[in-house]
Amino acid sequence: MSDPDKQEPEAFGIDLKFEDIPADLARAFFAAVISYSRWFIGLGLLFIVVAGAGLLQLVKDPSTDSLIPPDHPSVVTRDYAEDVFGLRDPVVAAISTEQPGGIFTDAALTSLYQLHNAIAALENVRADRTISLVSEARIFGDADTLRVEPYLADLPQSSEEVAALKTSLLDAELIDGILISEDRSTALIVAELFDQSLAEETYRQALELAATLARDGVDIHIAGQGAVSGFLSGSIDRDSRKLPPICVAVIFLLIWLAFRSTKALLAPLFIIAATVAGAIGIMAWMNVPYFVITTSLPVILITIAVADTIHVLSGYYRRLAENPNGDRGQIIIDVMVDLWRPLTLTTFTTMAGFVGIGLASSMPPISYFGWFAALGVFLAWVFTLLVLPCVLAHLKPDPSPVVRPDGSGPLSGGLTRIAQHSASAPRRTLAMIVILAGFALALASQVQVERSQIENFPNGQPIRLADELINARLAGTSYLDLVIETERIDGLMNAARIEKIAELQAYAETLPFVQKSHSVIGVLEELHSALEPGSNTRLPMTDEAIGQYLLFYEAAGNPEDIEDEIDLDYQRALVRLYMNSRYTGDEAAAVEALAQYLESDFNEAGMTGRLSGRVNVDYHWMKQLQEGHLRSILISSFLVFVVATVLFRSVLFGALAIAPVAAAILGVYSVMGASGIFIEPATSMFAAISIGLGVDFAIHFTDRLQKGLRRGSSVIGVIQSEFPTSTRACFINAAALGVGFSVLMTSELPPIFKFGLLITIAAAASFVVGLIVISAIIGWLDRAAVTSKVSAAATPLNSVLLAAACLMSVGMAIPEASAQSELTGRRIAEKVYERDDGQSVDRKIIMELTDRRGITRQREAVSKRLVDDGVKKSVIVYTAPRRYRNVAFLSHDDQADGSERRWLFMPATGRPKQIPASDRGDYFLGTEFSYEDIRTELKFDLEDYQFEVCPLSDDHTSEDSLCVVATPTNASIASEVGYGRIEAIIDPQNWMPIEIVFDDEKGRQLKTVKVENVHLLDGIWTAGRIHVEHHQNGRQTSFTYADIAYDAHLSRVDFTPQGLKRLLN
Amino acid sequence: MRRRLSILCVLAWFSMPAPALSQPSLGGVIEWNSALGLGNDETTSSEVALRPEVEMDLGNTARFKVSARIRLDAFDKVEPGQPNLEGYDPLSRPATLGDAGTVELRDAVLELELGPAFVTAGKQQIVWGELEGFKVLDVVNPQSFRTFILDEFSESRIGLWALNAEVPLGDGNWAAQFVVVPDQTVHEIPEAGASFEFLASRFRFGAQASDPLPQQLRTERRENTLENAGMGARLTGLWSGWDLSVLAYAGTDPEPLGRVEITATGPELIRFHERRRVYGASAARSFGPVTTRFEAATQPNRHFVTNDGAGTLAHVEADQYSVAAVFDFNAPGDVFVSAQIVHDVVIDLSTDAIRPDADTLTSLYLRKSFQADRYTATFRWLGSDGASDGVISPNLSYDLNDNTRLQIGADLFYGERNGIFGQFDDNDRVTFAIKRFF
Repeated sequence: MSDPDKQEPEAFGIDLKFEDIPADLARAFFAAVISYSRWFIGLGLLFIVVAGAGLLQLVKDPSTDSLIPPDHPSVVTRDYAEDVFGLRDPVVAAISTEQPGGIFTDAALTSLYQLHNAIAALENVRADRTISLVSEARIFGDADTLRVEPYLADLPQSSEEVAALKTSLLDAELIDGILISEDRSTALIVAELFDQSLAEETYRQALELAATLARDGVDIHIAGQGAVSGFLSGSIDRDSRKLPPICVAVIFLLIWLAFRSTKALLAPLFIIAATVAGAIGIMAWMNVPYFVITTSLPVILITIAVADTIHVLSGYYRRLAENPNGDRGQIIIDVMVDLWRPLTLTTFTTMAGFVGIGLASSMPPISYFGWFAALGVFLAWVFTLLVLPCVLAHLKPDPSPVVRPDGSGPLSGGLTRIAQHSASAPRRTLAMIVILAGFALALASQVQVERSQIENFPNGQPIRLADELINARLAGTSYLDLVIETERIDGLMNAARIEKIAELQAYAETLPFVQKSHSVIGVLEELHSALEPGSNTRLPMTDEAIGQYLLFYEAAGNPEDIEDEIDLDYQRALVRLYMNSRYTGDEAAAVEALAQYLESDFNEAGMTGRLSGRVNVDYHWMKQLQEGHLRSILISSFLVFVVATVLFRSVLFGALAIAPVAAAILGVYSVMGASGIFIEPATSMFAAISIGLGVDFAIHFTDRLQKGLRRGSSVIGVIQSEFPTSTRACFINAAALGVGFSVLMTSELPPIFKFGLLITIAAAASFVVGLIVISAIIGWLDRAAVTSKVSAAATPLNSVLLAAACLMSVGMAIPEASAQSELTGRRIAEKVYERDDGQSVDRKIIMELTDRRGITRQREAVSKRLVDDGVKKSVIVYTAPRRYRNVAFLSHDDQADGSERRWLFMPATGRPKQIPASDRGDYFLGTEFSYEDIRTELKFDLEDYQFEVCPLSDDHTSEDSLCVVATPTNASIASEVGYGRIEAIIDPQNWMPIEIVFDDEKGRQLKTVKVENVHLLDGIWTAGRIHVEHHQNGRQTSFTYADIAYDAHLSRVDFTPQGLKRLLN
Repeated sequence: MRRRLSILCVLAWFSMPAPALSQPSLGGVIEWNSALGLGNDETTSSEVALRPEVEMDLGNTARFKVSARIRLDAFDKVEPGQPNLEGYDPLSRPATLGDAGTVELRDAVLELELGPAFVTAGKQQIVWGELEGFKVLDVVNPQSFRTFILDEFSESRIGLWALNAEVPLGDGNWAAQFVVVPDQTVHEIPEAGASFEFLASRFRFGAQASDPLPQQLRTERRENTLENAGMGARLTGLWSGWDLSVLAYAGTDPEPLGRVEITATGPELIRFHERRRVYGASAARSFGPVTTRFEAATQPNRHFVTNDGAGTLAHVEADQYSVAAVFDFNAPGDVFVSAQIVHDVVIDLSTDAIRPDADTLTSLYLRKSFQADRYTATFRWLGSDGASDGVISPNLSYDLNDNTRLQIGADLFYGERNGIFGQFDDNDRVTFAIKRFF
């Protein structure tokens, strides 16, 4: 992108002869646009409002988990381990003191005790999974007795009790380094969260508690993965509120300085709003979350969007300077006729850079960044061509006092001299470039793909201090897990296998940065020591002893104490390794060594081990980053090269355009190498973006040279005649980019700061290197050879279309939501509601209730339903197990007035009783279905909800599926049904739900219902199985239907309270 | 006893599979329960009860159900010695197994669908009232007060040989029910020395707890004749969201009257029974989160015991009216709450009557389940006379698996010694139970 110059018709530097689009046609087009200016402005505003409305439902995802696809094996294994062992990301509070008594002072113990209870009481904290000295138990005893008692059940009341506590911790091998530092100066509280999306609020509450409960000489720090998410979430919020306004202000200042006109500011404001609200609003509509990296997207879009506007304003003010009394409308049309081509071409190249990122990266946040940045660039182009002239036609800005008609000045003169010097001494210039490139290459080779969580937080931030403290004094904040699985229940009640796990654990502790390990082995060792003090073995030696020990432990203590180490079936175990590594790369050695050990020394028939945990996930996404980074540069370079080659119809000129950008990027890499900036998710994108943006300068310079050479001028002559205006415009453009991008350096997130720094340098370097390198290369090449290439380089429209087609076809791969249906959400809900499910049905239900530990209980029932005069009558009679036998539930749901009656028949009472009907959100007889679910049979109550169509997520690739979101019409109904939001995927072939996700009133994901084995029976679509997974309590329920008979001849009497007895077994 | 065992054998034979019939299904529950008296370290009961049930379909429209209860107590302190079972009709009476055991046929019912009518014939429980712990309309079956009213009514209610027919009316929302009960079994009342011997004077024919009743005790049951048989009809239905019922029943009053006769061996207390008529109605409906139920009954000219203060027993007739209101609702935190109030008044009752002319009974019941209904905690409070006396019963049950339930609870009595509940103030106990369903 460069400034339009005064020469006709090749304004803006590129003499691309769209010969089949005469200037007259373009003029007629823009005249028509301006004549319908109100329409275009109105439509533009409408688009901004509609797309921008999506911002209201923008969802943040600050987690590092988002960096890796959810179906990646490392994530799947980690999630599996979390499910089996009930693990969640924790908030960690560190109570530390420098006082001589360490943690055993009254103040420290009181802080620890009170903070434990206060944190456990927080709404988003799992009290049962909040551990510290207050909750954790020590194992002691002798051959006859075993005692399992918390270390700090109550606050010590005397020095003797404190001494006893000290003594009890003397051999606290299980918690040493994990909950208390070896020097006894620091103790930890580890609290797992229910809902990661509420981590920010929980982190804030924990900080408030820490401030309240800290005492003189006792510091409290809050850290942990839950706190990290909370901190990042808060930072995203603050950055999102801060960065775009600063960027707009800075760019407006630049524009005002360039044109000294306030009216000139209104036009870019429109384009900025359209670009940012459009791209990010559509992103929100498509349910793509706002990641940490996305924080920089608005700034990138603002900067790029305003660059096109600057070109149009430059052209306008220059032409106005030439003809101050000319017709403003005509001037605008002239400017647009001049500029539409170069604006279009540079848009393609910029988009190519972003598309390269979108295509190449397998990390969702980066990929989405690329695609939506490309979308934003496209929107900026559309608005610049269609709406900007209309806005200017209405504003009719007056001439600028600082824009001169000839574009001359000291700036353009200086820049032209630099180019001239390069072209006149090309060998020397290129030699210097090559030497510098070699030097840069050496520095660039130092760049590492690396990430440090600690360094992602600003210096002095409490969370960073906390992380450093814990890593320094305790075993570390990074977890690498080993999931051990056996083939059958009680598979771990095997002394040989336990010994093998102990060996694995011992090996793991020898690996770098592994400070501590924790597993059921430690528990068994302590039990063995407590029960057989004289034994000469560390572990029990028989299978029976292992089972008995654990049973003993469960009986003596709380069975939940070890549920994160071994499941209740004794089939799976977890070994957790604590690492104090600062960098992700530090962890690679341990991950790779353990993977090798598991493969060669551990796995056997009937028992396998898998790596899991955050360290393993980080290892894999860093590996993907390493591969994806290079791939994104290559794809972006290739796309830009293809676009440039097609535009110039010359491979040489395509290569010429890309060369200086490559050199500039190499320079930025050298900066990274020299300053120790790592390639990490945010910084990895700069290169591909720079290619797309930087090539614009190269294209402008190349084209100027091409045009001049074709006229027969010498290289120096071309530079002297063509460069003054184009270099000035390109400089303003680069300055705008640089200034805009530099706003990112005000981010409080170090990765965004670094990204801003790099892309700012890249923008500046692309301009400078492009100016020098292209001049030198053209000067060095044989003029005749260049000219011969140039002669054929006119660019007809079909070339542009070809380039556009390239990008558009690539763009088809954008991960888009499902095709929007013309059906409204309400209509879909009505279709579901109206789905035929028979006038009556008689069926058997097999219910499977699975608790969080995977223990399943089965119940069987007979279910009958009859629609009788507008009243849906249902009866369920339990047939098994024995204790539920003949428990019967009857309901009458009057579909006309919405009233409902329920009766419960308990064999013990011998009669049916009418029971309260209004608690629709209550769970139905111990299942995870609510009475509401049972009553509505997963149809929507049309009066209770508002419905909207929603985009399908990636998980639902069926093109035919529909997504509808149901929101309770008011808080009272939400409270009644227990749902704040319901998102259902509907199969329009049969109007059966495929999957329904329920959120609770607080917006936390509550449960997911899946409808399976849908088949046609007697002409009625029938679900064979319905499964619900409750995300908050970990339980599951499935209903499997059998012996289904529709329109069976059911007696009304069976559906009366007095008739219930007839149905009993 | 031989005759009763014969009946059991006949029923057992009847339940044997026949080629044309479905296979009988056998199930039931075996339960161990123990009660530990508070303030008395001795275990007051440790009982094993086996309750087998056999069911068999007899074609498509008939089914036969039989269930029994075999009970053995290791301590024999609930009812020391052989229990007095004179109140039972010979056909219903349990067989004894020594001093501390009984074998009892609980139900033996033939269910028939005769056209639209549903008929049950045999020994059965016919439940008309819906109150918990109290009775207003539950007038057909007598009760065993072996452990006062602490057992579930389904366990303490005594099944009667009866014929019951239910006929739907109109569109099925209404039904008429007719019962004929030849069985003359009356309440089982613990003897002197039993754990739950009645000590309040109103249940001791006016005698104070410190005054012993005549040692000779006899129960006169009414003859098993058609004119003595209980007969009743009930109309139930749904109307505008209301569960409605009206009923009329006439039969033997299970509450005893008394007279003292002097015999050669000394005074003898004779318990005997008159008939009574009951007319009643009930209405129940849920209003949003609250279900309300109302029951009302009148017993005209019911017989009540009088004692002139000199030990002379007689009985008078008076009209009795009872009303009850129940409120059930689900409180926040998924706690089920049920509150009941029963007011009972006898009009123009003689001042010599041993019962007061009015009673007010109240109850509160709370239930909360945890961990997918694996744990259930309940709290029950029953009180009388403005809560001047009562019993508090907390209970926690844990379902070890689908077929095994563990329970721990307590029954804590308080209040005036002459009160309905306060009379058992010495009977506070902690209970344990393990139930295994099969």
